[in-house]
Amino acid sequence: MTNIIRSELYKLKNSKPFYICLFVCAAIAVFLALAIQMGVVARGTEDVAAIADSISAVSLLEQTLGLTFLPTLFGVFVSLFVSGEFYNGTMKNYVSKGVNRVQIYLSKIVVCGMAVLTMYVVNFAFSCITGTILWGFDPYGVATFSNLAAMLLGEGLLLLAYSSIFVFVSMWLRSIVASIAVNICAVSLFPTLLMAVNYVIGDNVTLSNYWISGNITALASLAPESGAVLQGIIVGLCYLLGGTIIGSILFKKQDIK
Amino acid sequence: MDFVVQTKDLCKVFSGKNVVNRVNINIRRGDIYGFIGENGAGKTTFMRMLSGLAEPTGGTIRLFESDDLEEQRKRIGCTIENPAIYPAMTARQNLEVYRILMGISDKGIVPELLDLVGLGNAGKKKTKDFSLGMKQRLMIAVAMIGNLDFLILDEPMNGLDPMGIKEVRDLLLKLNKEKKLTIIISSHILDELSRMATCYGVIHKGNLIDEFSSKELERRCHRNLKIVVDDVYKAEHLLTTTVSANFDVTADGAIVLYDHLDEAANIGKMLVSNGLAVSALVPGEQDLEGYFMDLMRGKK
Repeated sequence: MTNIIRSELYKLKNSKPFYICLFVCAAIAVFLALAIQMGVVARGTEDVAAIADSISAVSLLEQTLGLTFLPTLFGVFVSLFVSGEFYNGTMKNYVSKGVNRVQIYLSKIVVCGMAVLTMYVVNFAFSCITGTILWGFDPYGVATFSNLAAMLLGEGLLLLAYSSIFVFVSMWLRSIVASIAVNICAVSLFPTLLMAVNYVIGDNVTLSNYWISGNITALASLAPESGAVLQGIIVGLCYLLGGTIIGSILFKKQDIK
Repeated sequence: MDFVVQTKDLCKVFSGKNVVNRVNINIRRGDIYGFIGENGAGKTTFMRMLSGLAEPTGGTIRLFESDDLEEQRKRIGCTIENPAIYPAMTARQNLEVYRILMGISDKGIVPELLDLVGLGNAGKKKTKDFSLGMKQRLMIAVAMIGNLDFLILDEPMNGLDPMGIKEVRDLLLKLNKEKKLTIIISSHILDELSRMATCYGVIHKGNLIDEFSSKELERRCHRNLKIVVDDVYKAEHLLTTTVSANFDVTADGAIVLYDHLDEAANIGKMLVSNGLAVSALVPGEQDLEGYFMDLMRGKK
């Protein structure tokens, strides 16, 4: 298993899409901070004081983490990295060398998870650095270590859950284009679909609470609603483990072309 | 240990159709097994099952006389259909991926293999810019990483120019000779296959319809005289007793004579004078392609 993960990491290290995604993660953090700053300046001197009192690096973090942009980018990257094995036919080399299929699947989960977390950390780091330079890290003392850690770790877990779903889709569809489309839909379209279904079935159950994106939005706050953190952790673990288990069982039975 | 591959009643069914139907193949250590068949005959599916890419619907596979296929497949290398390489990486990086995967600590194996397949000078060129011949040779190097004893090659000559074909052929013969590598190879270029293979299997509509060694092929394709008579048993007796001839009788009752070929007229006269009606006396000589074509037409 160690050798498979090392081999996957070697591929990741030599993967151009990975570095492009890292750059985009960093650029989007800087761009968002500069856009907010330019917006503040454009409002005029009277409003600036009022608005400037509420923005900081931590508030920028809250805004960045709540966006669907990051999961969408991760979905595209995982599709390229995983489905590319089928597109290039290289998955055949792995299987025909007698590597256990479950281990192949798990290594994809582990390495894609690591890639996604690295991009997340880069985005977080650039948000912090740019926000701190422009407004200070937390000049109004909103954040505590525990609520900041809960937000970041909770979001990290939910992004890993997304990564597990993306790997599942990419291994199952085995087509780069199809898996990019489905993964983008999972991030952008599926939450809208859940909302629509919720209109039909009424407010007794909030379906978005059971999908990853709803919890990402709920946790992208330094003062989340009570129970949101626990719910986010449970949903994240369920999708992470569920995607891994079902995906590895399906891959074990799949013929490889 | 004699056998590298043993299959028993191996089957694969796709959408209710038997793509591979009860195939029994035994490949001995050191063999170069030429696998012949038309498009869609089941060659690739059979090879995919051997290499673990497809699950058999029925039957069994034994590799190196063991049932632990996952473990034994570590000794197998394969190139099935198109060359499967990472296009954005160099040849060295491609091999590094598999060196790490197989847990080989000796980094020297990568340049060694590149030299062996003639890609030692490929340098930093990305494999997407390789010619098809270079890709095929790199695939052979990828297949050879690890403790390789058996190579599965599906159409490795496809798309190669004559020089590329010769390079791949020379490489395979060298590997077979020097490393005692057992190889199963399918190809539509039968003339090329006949320059390498030591035994052959012919698959048709999923069924293995013939299996023979290169010596047997030589004998079957040897210059011959095909004789068709009204009484085969009498003709057999006459040929044995009067001229001590070396011959075979085909399934459709023709006699194929392998010697006394320059005395065709006398042999015909002798048969007729002994009361036999000779309806055909045809000289012939074949190569593998001709033999295969005849086999497909049901002539043999």
